[in-house]
Amino acid sequence: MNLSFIIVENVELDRYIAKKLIRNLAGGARVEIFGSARAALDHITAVSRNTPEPAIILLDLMMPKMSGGDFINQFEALPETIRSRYRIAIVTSSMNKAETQRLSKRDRVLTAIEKPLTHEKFAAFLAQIDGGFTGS
Amino acid sequence: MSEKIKVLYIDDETDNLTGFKASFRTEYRVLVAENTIQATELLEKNADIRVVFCDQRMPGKTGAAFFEEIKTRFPLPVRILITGYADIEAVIAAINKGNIFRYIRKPWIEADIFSAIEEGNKFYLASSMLQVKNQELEEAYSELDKFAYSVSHDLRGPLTGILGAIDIAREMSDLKEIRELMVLMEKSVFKLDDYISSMHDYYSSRRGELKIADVDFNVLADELKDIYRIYTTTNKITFTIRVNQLESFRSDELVIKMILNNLITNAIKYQKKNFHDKSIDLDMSVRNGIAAIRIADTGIGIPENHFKEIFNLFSRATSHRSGSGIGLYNVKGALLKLGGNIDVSSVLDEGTVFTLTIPSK
Repeated sequence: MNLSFIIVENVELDRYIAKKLIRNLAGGARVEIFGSARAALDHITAVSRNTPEPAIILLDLMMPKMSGGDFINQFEALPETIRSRYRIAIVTSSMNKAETQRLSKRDRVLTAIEKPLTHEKFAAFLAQIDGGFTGS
Repeated sequence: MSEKIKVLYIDDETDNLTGFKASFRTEYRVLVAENTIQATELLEKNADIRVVFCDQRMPGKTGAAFFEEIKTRFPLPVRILITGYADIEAVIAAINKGNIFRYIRKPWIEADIFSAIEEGNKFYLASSMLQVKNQELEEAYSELDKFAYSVSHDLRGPLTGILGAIDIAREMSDLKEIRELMVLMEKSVFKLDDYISSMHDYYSSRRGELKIADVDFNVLADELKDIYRIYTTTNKITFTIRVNQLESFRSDELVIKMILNNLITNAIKYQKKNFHDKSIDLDMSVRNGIAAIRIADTGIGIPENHFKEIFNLFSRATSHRSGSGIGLYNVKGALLKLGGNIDVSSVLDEGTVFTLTIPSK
């Protein structure tokens, strides 16, 4: 399976970590990186129709201006043809467990991973989605 | 006593109203009503009525029924029923339901009314105070909520980033790559440190009493130059300070320093990257008992629609730089304490000017 990732994260260090883990554990995967939820959403809306492979969005929740929660809300309003190409994995350091739980049950959201994102956690996540997600 | 206590008396017998007014008008501000409709209108118009007397036996509505009705709509004024022996059952019921504070037997004597107003006023003040305290508590709780968010965002966020970085560093052998990671980790540590010092400012400025003494802005300027010399030279920023203090000025120097430190740090932090003429200009003058401070930078600027909210707790106008959203909130709070004011004007991509005025104490 050809994996593709979209990192949505406002903190530079956390973007770097996510990118590194993908390189280390999911070798040839394509990675696109966005520093704000707005930029990621605009990108998805604009290019999605031509995206060859489905992508997993690693989504931070606590971001200024447009939060991860806002992103999910607006993502759900997109046409099915776009939505079906993506799955979301929440990556957060939020201590508001209830909110994270609620968001992890939303449409197209696979799971919520608690920061810090480590080799162990990311490997477990990859094993969980292995073969289970091919887009639809 | 600065202002007379406002009292309302309701009775369908106008003679009683006239008598009441004549007896108490010198001591209290007395309003009278012939029926409950008039009384309700007066309560609406006079939010500062503290004690309400009402006759029990009136055509249409009893005093007890009227009090029950206004209890939720006008909770603060203290309710006192005036009634004869025959209505003792109604009085007991009204007391037990919490509708009245006490009752006065008819025909009343002046001493009873005086004591009822004084006691009622004490009760009114106590419950008003309680209401104010409740409001303060609610504000404190909502601030605590924001703080809880900020703990996970501003304290835990950078920490989990550093932990994640340590995890990936274990798999790294290339020194160049590790150094690259260290630079990013350092930024997170600075952010944490920044946050902790602004939290410290926040709590000390909220709880602390002002220490008023003479403030010499020339001495202050020299200190600031020393503190920021390293930052400004390494960041290639021209930092100029002008002082024009013609008279003595009294205020809390530590609070003024906190304000200036916040504004200068911001001016350094929000400079444009790759811009060659970076500068910060600080002008402080004291004239006619007022210190006017102006700090201008050549930074990234603030969008106009953010001018108002930048002083709110945890508000951030930009997502690109490290910042806790507490700094300017502290500045505003500190200025309020000093009786001063702050204004901002800014042009995006050109710079920001903060203008402050602080009166001498």
